[in-house]
Amino acid sequence: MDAFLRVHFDRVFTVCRRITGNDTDAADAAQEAMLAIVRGLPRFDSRSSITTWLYRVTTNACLDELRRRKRRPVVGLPQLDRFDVTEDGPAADDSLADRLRLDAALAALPEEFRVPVVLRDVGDLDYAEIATVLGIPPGTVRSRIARGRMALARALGDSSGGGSGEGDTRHGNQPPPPERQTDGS
Amino acid sequence: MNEFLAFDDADWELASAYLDNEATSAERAQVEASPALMGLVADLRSMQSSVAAQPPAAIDRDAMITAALAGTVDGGVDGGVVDRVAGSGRLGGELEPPHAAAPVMSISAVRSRRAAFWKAPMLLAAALLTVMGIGFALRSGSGDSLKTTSGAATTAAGAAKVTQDQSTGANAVPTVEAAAATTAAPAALPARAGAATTAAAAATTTAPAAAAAATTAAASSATTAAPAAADTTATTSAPATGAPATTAAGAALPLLTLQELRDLVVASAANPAAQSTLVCPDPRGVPRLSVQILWNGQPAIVFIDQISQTLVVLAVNGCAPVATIPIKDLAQS
Repeated sequence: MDAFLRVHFDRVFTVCRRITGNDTDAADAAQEAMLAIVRGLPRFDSRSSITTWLYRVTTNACLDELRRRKRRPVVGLPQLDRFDVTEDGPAADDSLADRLRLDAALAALPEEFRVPVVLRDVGDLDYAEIATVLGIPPGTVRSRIARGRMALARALGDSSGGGSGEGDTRHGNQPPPPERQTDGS
Repeated sequence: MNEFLAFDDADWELASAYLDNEATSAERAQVEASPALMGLVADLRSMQSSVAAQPPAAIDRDAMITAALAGTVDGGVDGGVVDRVAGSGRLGGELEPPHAAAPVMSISAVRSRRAAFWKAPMLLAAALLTVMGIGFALRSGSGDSLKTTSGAATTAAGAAKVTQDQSTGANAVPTVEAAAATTAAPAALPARAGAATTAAAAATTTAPAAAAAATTAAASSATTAAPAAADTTATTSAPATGAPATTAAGAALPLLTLQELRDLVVASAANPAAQSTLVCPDPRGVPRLSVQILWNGQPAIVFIDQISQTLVVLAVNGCAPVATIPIKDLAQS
């Protein structure tokens, strides 16, 4: 079990980091996910994909954490924990700025678009697996990922090319248009 | 990236699906025929790499994994499942490649089963805390507090009904009204030589004075009794379902009543020899809720066995179980 958790921890944490948008909530969500994995694994049906199950548990933990966060008052600077004090120099500044832009753009994405994008790009799940994890048709997954990426790319474009800072990104990033109805089959 | 504005929704979906290798052959041909769409795919690929990159984080990875394992009682011993899954080629150093979706467990089902999973252990924990409370109270108070403490303990334990035959006075032996019977002979049981139990039949866990009442309460099922010579893992290998276990003739563990455990706790409290540290790996219990006692002059520890749903006395030296306390039917009482 210990080895299993170590193999998957980084990916689980990164998914949580991308979904929740900050280290603190990601750590809480990852911890909850790990607990759920440990408790649920003995009853896991090994005929199915364990990665799908693992990301389903992780995603639920992240969404639960986001809901808890909404009920908590925000204290202090919300972006403060995104700075990494170990990096120095201009290159590090650029890297940090890029990460901040990406974090802001991802955070501005509505949850319904952000989660499938993260499961695809970080979790490396295919559309069918994401559909299973989220309980939506594969066609809807395809649409949401495309629209999420569109909004993300436009937000990153706005924040890097338009002279607007990170703080402007949230305001300049228009949410994706309503998705088309699709049965996904 | 203002060129993104030139693409419509269909273009984005085509490029996105192409990037993810989810496009049909016709869609792939359409994308590959368009330099603009291929450029969009390249931009999306770059963005995908950024999203996938693991952001630096000041987290204690080892501590989180350790906490996750400690947060469940069977976290360290269910490697069989991992091995079974790994044996199927589904686990490894890397995540498996994309593949068709397979059915997974419902999260709601996991949650409901998790709730049921913790019900019995919580009752057991209450019982152990009761014993610890009794010992603590008696260590700091007088002997007269026995009855009061026992009553309070019964309340605290919730389901643990401790009965006491008032007519027998100080010799009365409280017993758990568990439906479990025992097939074990208390060969090594101190302070309870007269409380022999009947093999392969509905029996009692009480002293003779209270035998009638306890026999009434007892059911016909046999309780789990792990071999005395077995190691910890063997002890905890009893069926998790609570199904009656077969008794290993001649190797069955003696049974303790809560009263006897109380006596042990009281006798051990003032003895420094009992204050040892359990070094046995994976007691399959909740170490934080364990209590240290002297068992036949040797340090031992009482902990909750989640699988057999009993309190188990484990000798520190050798890590062998030496006794068990049948309270597996606490939830029904």
